[in-house]
Amino acid sequence: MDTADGKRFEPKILGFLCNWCCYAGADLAGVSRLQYPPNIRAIRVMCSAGADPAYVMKALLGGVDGVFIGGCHPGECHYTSGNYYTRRRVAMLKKLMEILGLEPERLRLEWVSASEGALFAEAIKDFTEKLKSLGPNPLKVKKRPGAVVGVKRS
Amino acid sequence: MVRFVPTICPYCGAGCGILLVAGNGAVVDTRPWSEHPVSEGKLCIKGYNAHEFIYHPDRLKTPLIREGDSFNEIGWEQAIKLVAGKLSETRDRNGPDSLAFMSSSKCTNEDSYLLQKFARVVIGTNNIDQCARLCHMSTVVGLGAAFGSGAMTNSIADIEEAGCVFIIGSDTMSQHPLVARRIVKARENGARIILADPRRIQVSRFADMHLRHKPGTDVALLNGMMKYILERGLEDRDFISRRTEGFEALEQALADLSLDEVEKITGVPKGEIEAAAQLYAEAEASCIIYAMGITQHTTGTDNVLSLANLAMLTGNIGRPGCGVNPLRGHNNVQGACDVGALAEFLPGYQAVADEQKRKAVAQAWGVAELPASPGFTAVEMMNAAVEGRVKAMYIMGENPMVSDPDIGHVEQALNALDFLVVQDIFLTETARLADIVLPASSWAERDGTFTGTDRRVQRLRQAAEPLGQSRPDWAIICELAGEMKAGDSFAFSSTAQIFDEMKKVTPQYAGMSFARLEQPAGLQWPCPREDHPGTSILHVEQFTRGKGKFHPVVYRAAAENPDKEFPFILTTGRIMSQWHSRSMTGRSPTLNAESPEGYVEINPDDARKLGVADRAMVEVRSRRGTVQTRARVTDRVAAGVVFMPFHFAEAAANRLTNAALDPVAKIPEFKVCAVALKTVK
Amino acid sequence: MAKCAEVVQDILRGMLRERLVDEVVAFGRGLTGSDILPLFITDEQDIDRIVTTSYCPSSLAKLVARYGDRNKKMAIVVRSCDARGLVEIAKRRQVKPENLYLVGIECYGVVREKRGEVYIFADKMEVDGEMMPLDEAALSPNCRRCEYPVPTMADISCRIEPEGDCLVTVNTEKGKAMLATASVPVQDAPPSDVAAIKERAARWQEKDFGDIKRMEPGERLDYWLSQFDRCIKCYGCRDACPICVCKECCLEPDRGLIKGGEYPPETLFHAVRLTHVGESCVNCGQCEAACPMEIPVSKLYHMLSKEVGSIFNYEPGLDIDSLPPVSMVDEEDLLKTGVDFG
Ligand code: SF4
Ligand code: SF4
Ligand code: SF4
Ligand code: SF4
Ligand code: FES
Repeated sequence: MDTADGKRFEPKILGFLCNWCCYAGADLAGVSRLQYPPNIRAIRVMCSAGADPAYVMKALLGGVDGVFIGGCHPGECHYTSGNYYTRRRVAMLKKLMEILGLEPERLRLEWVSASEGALFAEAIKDFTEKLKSLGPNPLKVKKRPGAVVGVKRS
Repeated sequence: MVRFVPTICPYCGAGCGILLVAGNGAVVDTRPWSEHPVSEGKLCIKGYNAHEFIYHPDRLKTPLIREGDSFNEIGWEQAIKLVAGKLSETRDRNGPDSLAFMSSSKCTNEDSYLLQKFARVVIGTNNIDQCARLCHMSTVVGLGAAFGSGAMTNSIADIEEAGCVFIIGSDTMSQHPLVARRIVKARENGARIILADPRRIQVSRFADMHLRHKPGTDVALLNGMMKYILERGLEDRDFISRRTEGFEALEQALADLSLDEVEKITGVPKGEIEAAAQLYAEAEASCIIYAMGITQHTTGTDNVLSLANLAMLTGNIGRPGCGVNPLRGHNNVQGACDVGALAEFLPGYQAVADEQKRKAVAQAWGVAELPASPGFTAVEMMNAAVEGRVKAMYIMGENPMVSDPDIGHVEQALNALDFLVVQDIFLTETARLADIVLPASSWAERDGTFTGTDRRVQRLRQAAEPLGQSRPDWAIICELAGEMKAGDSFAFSSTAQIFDEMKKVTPQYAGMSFARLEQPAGLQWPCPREDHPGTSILHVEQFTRGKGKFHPVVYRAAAENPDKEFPFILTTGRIMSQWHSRSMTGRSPTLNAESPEGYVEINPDDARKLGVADRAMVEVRSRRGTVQTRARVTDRVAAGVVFMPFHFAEAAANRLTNAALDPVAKIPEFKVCAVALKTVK
Repeated sequence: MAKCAEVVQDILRGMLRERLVDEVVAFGRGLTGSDILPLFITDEQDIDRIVTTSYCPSSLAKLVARYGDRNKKMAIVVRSCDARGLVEIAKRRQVKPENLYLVGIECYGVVREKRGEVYIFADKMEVDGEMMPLDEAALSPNCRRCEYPVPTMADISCRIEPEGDCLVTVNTEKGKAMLATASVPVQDAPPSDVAAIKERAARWQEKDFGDIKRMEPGERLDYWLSQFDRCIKCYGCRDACPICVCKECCLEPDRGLIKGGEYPPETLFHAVRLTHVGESCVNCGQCEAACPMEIPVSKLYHMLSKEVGSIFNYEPGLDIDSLPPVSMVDEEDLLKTGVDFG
């Protein structure tokens, strides 16, 4: 899908990646030169439960096209149950997004262990494709008049 | 255990009802008051935090006397003696008109009433004024001339009935949020909303039309609308012939006007002006809402007259959902004017120059004579002080060092005085210049009445004891009068007693009493008799002056316009979470956290050209002064226009503003001046 | 007719006299006798002021959480949403349930705009002494969606009959003690017929939520953005909400989420509160009643709480021991492997 100005749409993804698993998985994917789209900006969290729903919403409402949360497989969370909380929160967030009118598919949760570099690459590839088919975050184009715009010094 | 004490918000003129939560003798919180007819259980952020400044450590707890550059505490008795002595001495040596009094639209009706009585009876001068002069004097004068009464014609709740709401020069969502609520409700009932404002303020997000005219071109815009209405025959001929006079003059004045010319002056496309005129004229009931964006110009009175013309032309007066509705800035601007804290009016807008009325008031007050010539108005007082004609000044609850235009000049004036008394709850920028400072008790610590913008007189109820040795303003004035041997006319021991005297000389309040005001809705003036229910809509059968009068007005440019050296138009205003000179909001942690510092709004295009980044420090310079503040880059302002909130003393917009006055109302031009911008390294 | 108020007053007077409680919290007559104020009562004389009309201007649950002394014993006159709010507040440890004595009033809705002295019954209403058919449009929108007319979580619950009788049911042991000193005869009420109310609730939920659900996603987003465009960030919704009892709130400026001084606030302002409250909203309607800009916040929160509740099979406000689903993990979690719940 193309954006209005004719450029190819490259979705921006914010990733909350658990330090103990997914972050290492992503690292592995990089080191093993597995191809995956460069669309993700990763934030390392000490557990997937560090992906505070408020910050997920902050990213989405701020115009990010998708949010990816990577956590340890069930039973493997370093804090025993952080990933279970995450799973519940994601369920709640998806409902919230749906009610507000944001496609719930813009939020994705995956279990990726430190050794699953390929799985990580695959997940990002798939998520990127999904976001491409959804198109840009509608909030990016729905700018409200009279809001503060942070123009940078040229 | 806590108690919920119903009282009135001390901030804007909407006059919302609040519940002060009192526990253990102190006020601990504010809650909305659901039974109140204006606020209906809702408030804005200022109202919700109205209690926060009450116990601020800066509260004045004892009288203070200047010693060199600092202040020492003194006792009440000594302070009253000193002030009384100085005032008497100045009067005896230089005549009564060498003294000037500034009341405040933050104080209660009873306070303002007593101070003007003090000035007139004890001193013998009409040099009494207050900041209504700075915000709505053009309304008092303009609507007075057109309708015979300078007050909001309809009521706040009544806006809901409108078919079209025309908002001009009012950032209603942030200045009078609980009035804006009615605009929102009107819209839900199907009303169309027209906004005319240079800035993309919050209302623009849901208005049907936004006319973005250049600051200071309101008369041109309104004349343009009227021209179109006449061209299309949309005027209300029946209303014009039955209820008004002077229509021909208006017709003539508009005859040669061309809408292309108007487009050029205002910057608003002709088609939009026409569409707005059509909407306004065709709705069943159209309501005009305006505020300081209309009044604070050298053409302020003209602006108000033009609005009156527009409303009369289309028959939008005297019915539900229409009218010309000025929104008063302070909680009690309306009241302070009603009870005579004005240089040219006795209580009830009775001109001091009118001998018969003056005599009647003198008789009621038990004095032989009252001064006959109008006194100095707020800005004139300052000029007179600089010139040495005013030697002593008594300022009650006002902070001209932040709120007046051209502060440099105010400072010069106050420093030139022989004697300055300031009575306030905090050591404000103005109080710091005083010889004696008297501690007043806060609004939560006293009884009295406030009059909201829709002429609603309402009871203020005491929720806690006065802090320290502070006293209610009225009590201080009584004490002072006693010391000056005028105790007989000031023998009051409660605000109810003051009210009872006040209503005898204020015809609009004649039928009211504290007992009647006990109901949550208070009473709207005029309320001439004890069995009168109060008046929610003015000019229903006929105008207060009989017939409504058209005053043709021609467009005049603002006093100062952008040029090569000062290429930007600066316009000023207020923001949601701060209020006026910040003496209260600046000491309220919640409000201050929202907006702790000043800024200047700059359009992104201008910012790019100037190389200014969002939040960067910039210098704003006018012919009168220079301030530094942070840039806020936003398309809320158009290119070529910048906006500054005037609340912040350290980045005081009023160091820049122009003190040029409206020739009739003497209101200064806060809303337009020319400035230059540059980045600060 | 005093409608049950005398019975309630009698019970409360007894409790205060016998020092079963230190304080009574209820709505009562204010300045002129026709206006209503929240009252914290310690003096028996003030008990006479208490009313049971169907006009409840604020959540007493929230007032108790804000101003009540946790260590004092308090009797509170509650409607079911108030009682459910208190249950949620207790979960958040802002009140001590053992110190609360809840006198419940069965509630079939309250009016948002006051018009005289109003009592709402299941299928009719009384305005200033005159009985008339129920006007559903006059009810507060949250009440129309409410399926809990009976405050089963209160210690006793009182039902006002249209004829003026007051039927009292005892729900707990505490409730028995509360009635011990009442001088009016108290009979156990037959169970209320709540089916009609459930039907009404279902109908209005389908209407209110359906209107939103039937929109296209883009349309829905536009709808909410245009609603939020009117927000003036008064914090009234938060301040009124019985779930929002945090001492330090994330919505305040400089907590990294919401910038200060911008009006309207970013959409995030609402989204953050949704993430905190959504699962626990008890549909008390107080947020919407406090909103000066007529933003249908209660509809939004109630809708989310229903949706989330249906995934986790959870209903807020009923049981003090069941924790909000997003703040807990249960047996079932441990058995699931996938990323999706459900
Ligand atoms: S709208 Fe005005 S009167 Fe009402 S709460 Fe806000 S500041 Fe106070
Ligand atoms: S979100 Fe609104 S309706 Fe829900 S519990 Fe809070 S105040 Fe009540
Ligand atoms: S919005 Fe969140 S942080 Fe603020 S009071 Fe409510 S639950 Fe607490
Ligand atoms: S009550 Fe309404 S206006 Fe106030 S903050 Fe909440 S949504 Fe915004
Ligand atoms: S530590 Fe990886 S999800 Fe908790």
